[in-house]
Amino acid sequence: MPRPESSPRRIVVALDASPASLAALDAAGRLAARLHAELLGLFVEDVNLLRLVELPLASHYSLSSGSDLRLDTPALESQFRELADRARTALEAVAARLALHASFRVARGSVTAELLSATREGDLLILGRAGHSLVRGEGLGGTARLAARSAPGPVLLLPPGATLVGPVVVLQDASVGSRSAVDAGVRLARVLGEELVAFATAASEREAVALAAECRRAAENAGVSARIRALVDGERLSTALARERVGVLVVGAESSLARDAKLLEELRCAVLLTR
Amino acid sequence: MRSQLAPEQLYRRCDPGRLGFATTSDLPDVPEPVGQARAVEAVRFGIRIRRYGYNIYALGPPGMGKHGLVRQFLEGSASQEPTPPDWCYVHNFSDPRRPRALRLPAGQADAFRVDMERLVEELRVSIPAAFESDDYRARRKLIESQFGERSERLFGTIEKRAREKGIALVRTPVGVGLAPRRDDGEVIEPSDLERLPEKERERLSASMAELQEQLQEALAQLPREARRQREALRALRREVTAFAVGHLIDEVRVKYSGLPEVMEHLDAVQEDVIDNTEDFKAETSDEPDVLAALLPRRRAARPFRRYQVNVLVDHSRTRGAPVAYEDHPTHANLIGRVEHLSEFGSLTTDFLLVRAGALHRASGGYLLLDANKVLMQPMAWDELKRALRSRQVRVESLGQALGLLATASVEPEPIPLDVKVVLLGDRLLYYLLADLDPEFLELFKVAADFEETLDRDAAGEALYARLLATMARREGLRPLDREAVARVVEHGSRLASDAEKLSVHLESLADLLRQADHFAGEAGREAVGRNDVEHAIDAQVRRMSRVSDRMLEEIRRGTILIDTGGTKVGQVNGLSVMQLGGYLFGRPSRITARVRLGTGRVLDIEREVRLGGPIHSKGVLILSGFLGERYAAERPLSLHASLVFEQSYAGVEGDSASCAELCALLSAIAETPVRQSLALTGSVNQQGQVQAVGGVTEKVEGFFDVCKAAGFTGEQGVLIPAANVKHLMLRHDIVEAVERGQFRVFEIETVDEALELLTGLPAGVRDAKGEFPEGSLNRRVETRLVGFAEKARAFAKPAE
Repeated sequence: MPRPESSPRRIVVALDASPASLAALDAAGRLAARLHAELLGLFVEDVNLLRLVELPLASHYSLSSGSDLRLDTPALESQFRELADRARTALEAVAARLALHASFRVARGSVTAELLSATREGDLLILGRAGHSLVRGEGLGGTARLAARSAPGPVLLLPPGATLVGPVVVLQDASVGSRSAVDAGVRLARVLGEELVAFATAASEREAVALAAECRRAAENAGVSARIRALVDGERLSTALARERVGVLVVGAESSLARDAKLLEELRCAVLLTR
Repeated sequence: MRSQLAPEQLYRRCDPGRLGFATTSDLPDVPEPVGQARAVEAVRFGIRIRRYGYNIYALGPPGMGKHGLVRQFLEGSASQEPTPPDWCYVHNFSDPRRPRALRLPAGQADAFRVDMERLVEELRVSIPAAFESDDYRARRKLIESQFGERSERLFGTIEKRAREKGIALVRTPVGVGLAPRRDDGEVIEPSDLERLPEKERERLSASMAELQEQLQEALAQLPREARRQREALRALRREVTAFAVGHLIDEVRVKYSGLPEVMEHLDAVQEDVIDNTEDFKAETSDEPDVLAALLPRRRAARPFRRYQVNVLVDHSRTRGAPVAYEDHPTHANLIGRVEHLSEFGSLTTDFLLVRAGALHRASGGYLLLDANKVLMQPMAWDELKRALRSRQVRVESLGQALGLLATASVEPEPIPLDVKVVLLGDRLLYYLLADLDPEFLELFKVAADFEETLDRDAAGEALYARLLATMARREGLRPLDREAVARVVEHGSRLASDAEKLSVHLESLADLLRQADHFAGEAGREAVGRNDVEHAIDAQVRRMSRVSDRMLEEIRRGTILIDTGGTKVGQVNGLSVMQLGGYLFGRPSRITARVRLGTGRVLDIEREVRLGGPIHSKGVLILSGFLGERYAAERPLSLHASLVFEQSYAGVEGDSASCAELCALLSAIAETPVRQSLALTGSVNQQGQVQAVGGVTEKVEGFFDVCKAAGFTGEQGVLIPAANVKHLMLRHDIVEAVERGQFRVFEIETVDEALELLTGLPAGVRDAKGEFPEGSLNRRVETRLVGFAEKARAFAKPAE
């Protein structure tokens, strides 16, 4: 299959060997295979942690026992190496299985900064929604939150266990990036062979209908089967979404939904943020 | 008094004219077993009496029809009795090693098994469906988010305080840390920290200490929170499962509401299902389970095995009480067994592999067993007694019973036993068990002793005819005409070895009828005639008589020495009978006696070489008693005599030759020759009276055949005890030879009568002076013995 137009050439996946990141790797691999994109696995040795163990004032506790860990720099580096090895092995396995062109890189620094510096324009960044989180929940991790806000290109946030399946639900709310969200949603639906569901929301019905028509045209042009719903302000988007089966939600990074961290956290599906 | 028997005394004919029917088709069936009134009464009593230990032992030789008779009565009684309950084994949820036994009304166990299988099928669908429901998902999400919120609040507060105090809360791969931070949120460089004013460092240090305390408190709360979340999720799971399972199990409960044990089991099933919902949920998992793929397919359903039902006893097709017969009464076939399956080299088992034994199947009814077979099987007899004594069946392997098996096994709950056991066996076994096993008579209080014969009178013959009619009909054989019936009646007497009795050995009679029917069929007759019966009897004898024919041949060829003419001193033809494979035949034996001066001892050579049995030895010792009393009451018996069965190479037992031995001895003492044309059988007592012996018919026939082969002289014959005349049922050719004067049969009551016939001399009776008449045989004996005594005294005198 030829590479779809405007598709990312490279997919960057953040790997910290946590279950969420390994699940994200799998989804990233599958998507890279469909888009004929290159896969880059990035492991960041968090400089904050290195500083933490070096600081005489800092303290470090085990999550499982609450005891003082008294970690030193060599021990932490050794742990980084071990985690990096696990991440590399997992990446190589996915690449071999899906016959991908993949590379692996280890960087040291601030996690968000390193991720953003590795991501060039046009790349797709894929993140497990929560890495090594404090609580065993499914909320959005700090790194994911920050990266989603600052990445130059699209960011795909994957909750644990989520896979890239349809239907693809796209939100057009006339915000910055929401047009590209419609384009990305249409492309993704075509690539996945899934149905597209578009929500067009605006302050007035007229605007909403116009946005809906725009969505329909985009779907028709791409030959994707689509269901379009126009929503006027006052109707809660979250209620509408809760009624809909959502595989992947595609929204503009500046949309009201993307800015509503709480709403974003409640979603159990994969979320693609576009710019 | 001695007399020659008339031909009609040798064979008791049955007059067909008196039978009063044309063929057995005219006769009705016999209502009850013929001649077994005693046994029938015992069996009926044994069936009716419902008390501990009143089991039945039916005793009699094989082929008497014990099995058929007992079964007929048992089935008659069982059909009027209630059908006992079904039994099944189910998993014991509190102790899996001890499967529980459940009692259900007859025919319901299998329905229960099917209901439980259906229930599991339903559960396998409804439980995963319940966990897929929006309601469950929403409530689960609520619990998780509540936990998440609490945790977040906990750490959020710390993080906020930390931020306010210029400290970062950092998540690491293995834990969580606190460190001073920069304004951009990153952890401060160690060098930058050192450049901070002393006061600031002190403030940070104090804040760190405070936050560390709070963090540790929060961390300590994490496991508690996690546990609370797990408990809340578990409670939710139980609630959802209980809702999904409850109504399904209730449907089964309604059906078995009257059975408290089943209800109890269903409660346990419900609790177990609720506790183990993961087993059901795992079904829907898409993830390949490597271990499951390796295991045999059967294992896939393993978690659900414990909800299945092992129907041990199913009476759905039983009408009335069961009547079971166990043909192969091994330990396991009697009390059941626990089977094992080999999995990865180890033996495993569970309640589903418990198998029923005959006692389970027969409980509430009757169990027929062959005593001999039970006793032949290791531990079977002990286990049968134990079950009867304890009135329950405990399934246990032979290895366990003997304490030899260490394999992990199950110990199923014992099942109550209410059974009447009928043992079928021969008399010897009954008497041995009664004698040697102290528990036997306690457990088998009813003896059903089967008669072997029936009185042969007019009524007896008529009943016998009806018995033959019944047997022919049951076997699908041609009817017998009355001539044939008369011949079978005569053969019945021969089988009974008594002209005044009829054998009720049903197997022998059935064989004769089948074979006669076969020959009638070959001859194209519609009814079995006398000739067919005769043909069948002759063919039976012919098939079995190879050995007796060879023996006769060797006598004719002079290999075995038997004289049938002339006279010999101290030599008498004795008669013995042999039994080979159920076939009896007579055989003459030469008995010789030799005497010389001695100390009054009669030497039994058979005994000396240990070929003589105790009864034979007793007979010979009686001879000494007779000699002493009659001839040497007043003087010492100064003779040494030896007696021997010539050309006998096997054991000699019985006293039926003692009269012949005495005659040989007296002939030797009197030096008087004995007629070899005669043979003799009978035992003798110390008074010289001749007593009855067994097998007299075959013995007469045995000597007749020898004489016939040697050629009749008109002098030949056999002497038999008068008490045996009623037993004679001789072959037709002998009766005809007697009619023609070629052969004779004499009855004798005393040894004197025998001696007169054998020697031709008068025996002689003491006169008033106490002396035997001149020329009498007894006089000769006494004279010789006196001579021995005087010679002995002469030898004993000291030399002058």
